[in-house]
Parts: sequence; C-alpha cells; structure tokens
Amino acid sequence: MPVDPRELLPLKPLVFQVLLALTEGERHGWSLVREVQQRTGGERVLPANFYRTLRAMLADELIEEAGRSEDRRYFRATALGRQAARLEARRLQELLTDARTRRLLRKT
Amino acid sequence: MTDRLYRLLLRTLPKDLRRDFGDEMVQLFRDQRQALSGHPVRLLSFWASAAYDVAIEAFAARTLPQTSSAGARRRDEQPASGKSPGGTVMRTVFGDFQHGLRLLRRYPASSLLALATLAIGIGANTAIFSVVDRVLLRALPYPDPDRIVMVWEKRPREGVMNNVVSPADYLDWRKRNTAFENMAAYAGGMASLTSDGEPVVVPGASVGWSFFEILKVRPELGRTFQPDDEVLGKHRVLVMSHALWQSRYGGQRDIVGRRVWLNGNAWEVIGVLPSSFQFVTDVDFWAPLVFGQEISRVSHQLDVYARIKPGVSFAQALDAMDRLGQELEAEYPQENRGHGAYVTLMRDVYVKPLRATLLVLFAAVGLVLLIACVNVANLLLARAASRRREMSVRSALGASRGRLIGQTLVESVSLSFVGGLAGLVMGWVLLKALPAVMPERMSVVGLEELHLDVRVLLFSFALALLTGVLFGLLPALQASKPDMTDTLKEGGRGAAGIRRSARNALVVGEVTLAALTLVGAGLVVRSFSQTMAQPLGFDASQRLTFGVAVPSTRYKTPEERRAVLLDIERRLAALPGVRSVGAVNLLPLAGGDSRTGIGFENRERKPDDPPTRMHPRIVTPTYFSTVGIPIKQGRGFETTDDDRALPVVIVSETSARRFWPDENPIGQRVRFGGDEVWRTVIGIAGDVRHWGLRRDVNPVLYWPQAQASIGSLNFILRSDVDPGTLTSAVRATVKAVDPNLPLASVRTFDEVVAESVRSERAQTLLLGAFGVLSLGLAVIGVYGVMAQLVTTRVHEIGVRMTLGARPLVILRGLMTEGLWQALAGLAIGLVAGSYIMRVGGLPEELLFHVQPWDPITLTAVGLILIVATLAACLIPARRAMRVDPVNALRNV
Repeated sequence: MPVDPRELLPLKPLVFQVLLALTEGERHGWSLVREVQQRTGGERVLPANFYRTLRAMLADELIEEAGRSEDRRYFRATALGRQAARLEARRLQELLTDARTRRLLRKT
Repeated sequence: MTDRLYRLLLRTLPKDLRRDFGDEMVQLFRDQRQALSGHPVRLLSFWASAAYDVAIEAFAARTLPQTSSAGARRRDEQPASGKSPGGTVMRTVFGDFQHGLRLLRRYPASSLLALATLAIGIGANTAIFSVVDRVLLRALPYPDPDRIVMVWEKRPREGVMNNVVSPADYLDWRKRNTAFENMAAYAGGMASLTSDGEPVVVPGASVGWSFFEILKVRPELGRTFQPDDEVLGKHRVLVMSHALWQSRYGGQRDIVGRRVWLNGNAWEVIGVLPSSFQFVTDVDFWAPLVFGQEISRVSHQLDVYARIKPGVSFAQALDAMDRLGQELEAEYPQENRGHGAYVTLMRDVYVKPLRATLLVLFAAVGLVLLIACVNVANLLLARAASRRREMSVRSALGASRGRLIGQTLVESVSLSFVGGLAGLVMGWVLLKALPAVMPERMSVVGLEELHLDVRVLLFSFALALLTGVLFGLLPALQASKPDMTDTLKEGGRGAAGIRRSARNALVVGEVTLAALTLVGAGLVVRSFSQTMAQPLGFDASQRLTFGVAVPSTRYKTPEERRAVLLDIERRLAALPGVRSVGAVNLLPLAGGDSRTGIGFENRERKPDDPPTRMHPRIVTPTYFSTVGIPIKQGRGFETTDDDRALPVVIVSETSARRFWPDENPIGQRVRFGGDEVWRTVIGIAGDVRHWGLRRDVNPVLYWPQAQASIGSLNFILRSDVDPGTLTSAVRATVKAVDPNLPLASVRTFDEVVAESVRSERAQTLLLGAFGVLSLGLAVIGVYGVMAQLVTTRVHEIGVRMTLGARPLVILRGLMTEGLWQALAGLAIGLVAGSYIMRVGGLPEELLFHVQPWDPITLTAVGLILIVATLAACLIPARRAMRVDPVNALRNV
C-alpha cells in the first residue's frame, strides 16, 4: 500500500538527520552516527535510540538495505524517504519564513 | 570490561534488534566512551545516559508498534496510519513511562536519593544472590555431580564422622565395595619443580588411578591415569594442570612425553587437563598414588572420593559401606576398633560450611533492600501527596480512576526500572570486589568465576519491578481517590495529604530494619575483635617465614638432610638485620597438622581406654626463642640434643595438664606409636594456637630436629628491620647452599596469621558494610520523612509562632517526635532481633565468645540509632525553627 509521505510529517529530528546524511549516498550505520553527530554540533547520539530508530525507518520503508560488506549493513534512502525528507525540509522552511516575517529572525 | 557490562544492559533489548545492531551499538558506545576517558564525572553521566537510553528503548521497542519512526505525535492521539489497535494502549503506557522519567528529573534531589537507595539495595542483592546462586543453588562443575561422594573413616564413639582414611582401609574398600563405580584416594602436598626454569615449589597431589574417571574429566592433551600407573616402578607419570602448562611451558603441544624433574626425580608428562577443570584446591601436578611394601592401617592421611554406580541410591551406598566398615573392624580388631566407614556427598563437604554465612549475608542484604523499599515508598507517598491537587483536577476533567492509577503505577515502575539498571551496575562492581574479601580455595564451588548471569539479571529486575508495583500501588490508590471538592478547596496547599500514621510507620519501620541489621553486624564485629584478641601463644610480628624441602634423592641419608638444613639455618642467622632463626616442620596457623598415638612408660593401657594422642612438632633448638614460645618449666633444646645424645621431648602445657594431671611430666618417658625408643620429657612449653584462633588448643609434643629424620622445614627469621625486606637476601642465601632448592611460601608471620582468619574477616567486612549501609539508608529515609513533615506543616508552625510559640519549642517538639519514633523502632527491632536469635539465631560459625544478647552490642546499636535518628531530624527541625510566620501564613 503506497504511503502518503505527508502522513509521516513532522519527522523526528533524528529521522530527518539520517535521511539528510543519506542524500549523499549509501552509508553504514556507524558512519551515519558520526555524520549525524557532526551535523548536530557533536551532540551525542545514544546507541540504543539510534539503532531502534534505524530499524523503525526500515520498517517504515524510509530507508532500505543496500548490501553488506565486512559484516556492516549499508543503507540508502528510498524514494519515499527522499520525498519525506523533502517535504520535511519544506515544512521547516515555511516555519522559518513565518518566523522571519514575524521579525523573530532577521534575514542575513 | 565495561563493554561487557554494556552488552549485559543491551540484553534488555529485543533479540532481533540486538542481532541486527548489537555489535554496532557496542562499537558506538566504546567510541563515545573512549572519547571521554579521563573525565570521571563526564564518564559517570555518560554511563547514566547510556543506561537511560537502553531503558527507554527497551521499553519502547517492546511496547510501541515498530512503525513509529515518524511523527512527534501526541500520545493520546490516534495513530495516523491506524495500523495497530493495541498501539494506543502501549503508546499511553510508553508516554507514562517517559513522563515518569521526566518526573525523576523534575525532583532531582529526592529522585537521586531514591535511585541511589534502590541502586544500593538492588546492587547488594544482585551481588550476594550471584554468590548464593553459584554456591548454593548450582551443582559442582562435574557431570552427574550428585553421584560423587567422599568416603570417610567414622569413629562414632569419639564423635568423629569424617576422619581421613588409612591406606590399608582404602585399598580394602576399593577392592571389596559393591556400591561404587570407582573409588580413588587423594593426598595433597607440595613438590619442588627444578627443570625448565627457576626452581619453584608447586602444589601437587597423588591420586588413585580412577580419580579423573570419578570426576569425569577428559584431558585436553594426552591421557589421564590407568590401573597400570599405580604399579611401583611404572608410576613416574604426571598429569599437568592447564595453568602450569600455559605459564611455564607456553602451551607447547609437545609437552606430552616430555620429562620434568620433580622432587629430584624424572617424571614423564602423560596428559594436560582442560582449562575448565577445577578442584577444591589448585593442583599443578597430579601423580598416581602408590604405596610401598608396608601398607599402614594406623596412619590416617587420605581423602577418598568415589562415584556411586548407576541404579544404586545414596542410602544404599551408605548402607553398603557401613557393612564393609563393620567387616573390617571384625577382621582387624586391633587397628580398626571402633572404626567404621561413612559416606557424604562431595557437594555437602564443600558447600555446607559456606551455607550459614551466605544465608546470613543474604538476610542482611534482604534487610538493606527492605529499607531501600521503605525509602522509595516514602518518596512516592510524598510525591503523591504533593500531586493530589493535580490528580483532583484531572479527575474533575474526566480522567478515569483506572487511568490515574495506571499512570501512577507506571511512574513508580519506571523509577524502579532505572533504579534496577543502576543497581545492576552497582552489583557488577560489588561482584568484582567480592572475591578479594572472600576465603580462598573455593574454586570448586565457583566463588572464583562469579559473573552476573541472566538469571541474576532477571532476579534483580524482578526485585526492582516488585518494589515499584508494591509501593506504587499504595500511593496510587490513595492519590486516585481524592475527595475532589476538598482538595480543590484546599487551594495551593495541596500537600497536607499523607496520613500521619503512615508516616510514623515508615520511620519506625526504617529504624526497626536498621536495628536488626546493625545487631547482626555488631555481633559479628564483636566476635571478630574477640577472635583477634585471643592470645596466640607466640609473637608473629617482625618475623619472616618460608619453607625449604630437601629432596631425598640427592640428600640420601637423614644425616645429609639434617646437615644441609642446619647449614641453611646457620647462614641465615649470620644475615645482617636477623636477630635469630628457628625452624619447625609445621608452622602454627598455616593449616598443616599431624597427630600420633603416644605410649607412656609404666602405664597399663586397656583396650577401652580413650586414645592418647599428641600432635608432634619437629623443631630446631632456637625455635622457641625465635618465635617467642616460653619454656614454662625445665629446659629447652640444646644443640647437644642430637642423635648421639639421650632422646628428649618437650610437651606443651595442655599435654602436661591432660596426660600428667597429678604429677610432674619432667623426667617421665614417652614413645610414639609404632616406635621402640623411649624419649624423656625435659621441659614444658607454653600453649600455641596452632589450629586457628577460634579453635581449641590440642596437646603438642616437640622433639629436636637433630633426633628426627625430616627433609622439610619452615624457617622463621626474627629481624630488627621490616621482615619483607629480607626476602632477596634469604633467597640468595639458600641458593648459595644449593641452587636447586626452591623456597616455598615466603611471607611474614603476620601474613600467616591474617590468612588464617581470612574467612572470618570476610564475614565481618561484608556484614559490617551492610550494617553501615542500612544505617545510612535509614538515616536518609528518616531525613526524607521529617523534611516532608516540616514542609507540610509550615502553615501550622507559622500559626503557632504567630500565637507566640518560641522557635526552640518548635524544635523540641519535632525532635521529641523523632526520638519517640526511634525508640519505638529500636524496641521493635531489638525484640524481633532477640526472637530471631532464639528461633534461628546467628549460626555458630559467625559468633565467637559473644552471646546473641551481648549487652555491649545492643547498647551500642541503640545509642548509634538514637543519635543517627536525631541527627536526621535535626536539619528539618532547624528549618522549621526558622519558619517566617508572616510568609507561612501569606502562602495559604
């Protein structure tokens, strides 16, 4: 049953970050963690939380397995995942625009 | 190490998640941890967050539908996809769980206290349960362990059921018994290993050929023994321990067939045991047990192991051996008069002595956990009280009673869940520390390879959850049944809640439990100090001891052996810093003993007379002065008391009292059983506690080394300097006499004494620690209750002060209340304690020269508890004293 990506919004920040990291290509779980950690300014990603989220994303078909090497599982974003990420980005952008128009933020 | 602990935590996650990502989680965890190494505080908070993370996810992964990656949905909302109908309930529970954890963070101080309390309670329980589980609940590490027995010589008339066995009896039993598959004797000893490196003394054992068949051990390399190996002349074959094979031979597989030099003889290595093999003591070399031409029926020295035949019950085996014992008594009326045969399970021999101690420890940690539970109950009650208003509002808005109870329950369970995780970490730490204080030589019952296994994990979590449910339910019921209008009317002052009787009961309960633990701990501590106050009969300080064994293969005659030992003694005495040197074959408190029948000149001995036995010790003339044993009467040995002089002996005071009650032993003559030589008593020496500080003193008989034939002695050096610093000089001295003589167990005499009370010290340390813990927890609990009390009574205190009550009166009122509660708790605790003592009592193993109702202990416990309770009340009471009446009244 095709899922409407809009139903998935808003995405959890961690889910969004993982999808963002996967736009650049396939990655294995551990390198995803590093990437996410760097993106979020070095904030620690908790192992159990991260991997359960990853598994849930697999179940939601936001990501899929792209093969294995040396016991590591590689992942890539699915079409649904990319679409959901795009929609989430747009949602965030609209929020930002809204904030700017209300002079909460100034355009730089 | 820490990775293993984390892996243990991960076991709470569902299996498939662990299988898919477990290794990566550990890897990630390790990476993050290593980045923090060197920052203990940050490391601690890292651990806390990791445990929190696993707890949350374990809960979520099991309760929420898996497709929850998206959406920060409200928990009461319908899931958008609507896939799983059960999802809503679980989402609610999960929400409550998270809410519970958030609450923990909202009340950090009280939550931390409760968590720490739970962690200590659950941690101590987990650790002790691991020991109990391993030692008492599990079998010995051999196949079919309940068929392995030990066979003893029994002497019912002397009240002895487990005497060691004579070689002749053992061989007859082995040949004629009908109940056992196999029977094998065991005789332990030390052996000098002189090939392949520095000479060392290693523990060895001689065993009947079927020993390893009885334990059902398969060798890792080569073979174990066969009947042939017991034939004199073919018997120089060895089975080596895995540990020695690894440490001295680097695990070389060609070890089988090699020759090693042991006690001056060449032995062929025929096999290596697996690393998993454990025995009661560590043994590095196993040799076949062979007997010479003369097989004694009077010298008792063997432990006998056997395996019961399939189809034969233990009772039948016992019965069969009993009959065989009677047959032998009839056949050898001289030697075996009054002797029979007795059978015990091997397991009972080694586990029974530990059982009492472990059960007492288990009871003590149980009390600690109860106190922890009371503390948590108190926290939950207090919190429920302050949230009554919230409950009323929610209930007024239409929340059902079940929903409110559910929420409170999940909150308290989440508290114990986190407490359980923290307790797990705590238990792991304790468990790592335990073997350091426990008695040695218990590898066979598994004390050395303790680990938290899944069962223990479950036990600890079950405890945590039970605590949560038990003490969550009470406040939940209370909180969910508010008289809505009343509470809403009360306005902001929502904390008046908890009934006074409940609070009093909590304080009294805490004091009671603490009193029980403290009395037990106090009695054991007193026993230990009584033990250490026992007069040794000698002086152990400033003395170094070590053993030297002279192999009879190179020093063939008694004269040669005597000469080389004398040479060593003389050279040691010349070392700088050494005041005197003496030697004895069996060092006091070191665990060795021997006993022999003694004949007296001019005394008729009737067959039914009780046996006259003494414990012979072979000493050098300077032994008494070096060790500080006084010669009470007569004279000590001189260098002239050698094999050409008159044979002489010295008896101990106990010997003199027991065997010469009405006459002076000096000048009397005695002889050893089986010996023709009469020896004259020339002196009486002071008694020595040879067998242990808590053991009775037995009659001892000393004879001079120059008149004995002996190849091994324990030397004692009395020095002016720290005896430990003499070690290398001593080694060099012995090496100069003969480079192939290894030194055995080099240690100070003080260490020997300390080692002899190791298990008593362990009991004392552990029970003492639990006593202090329970006191600490009780103080925390009482403090919590009183602080809560003051908070809820601020209004009342304000009113009273406005009406003219002086602050000191307020203080006195609160302190008096605390004092009465402490006294009530103490009274209940002491009465309950003395009742428990009367019914079950502390096992006698734990008490020494102390009565269960020891007034000193009881008084001390009473005083400590009263002072501690008052101290716990003081801080909240002082706060009450400083209440500003204006503020207090304005806040109504």
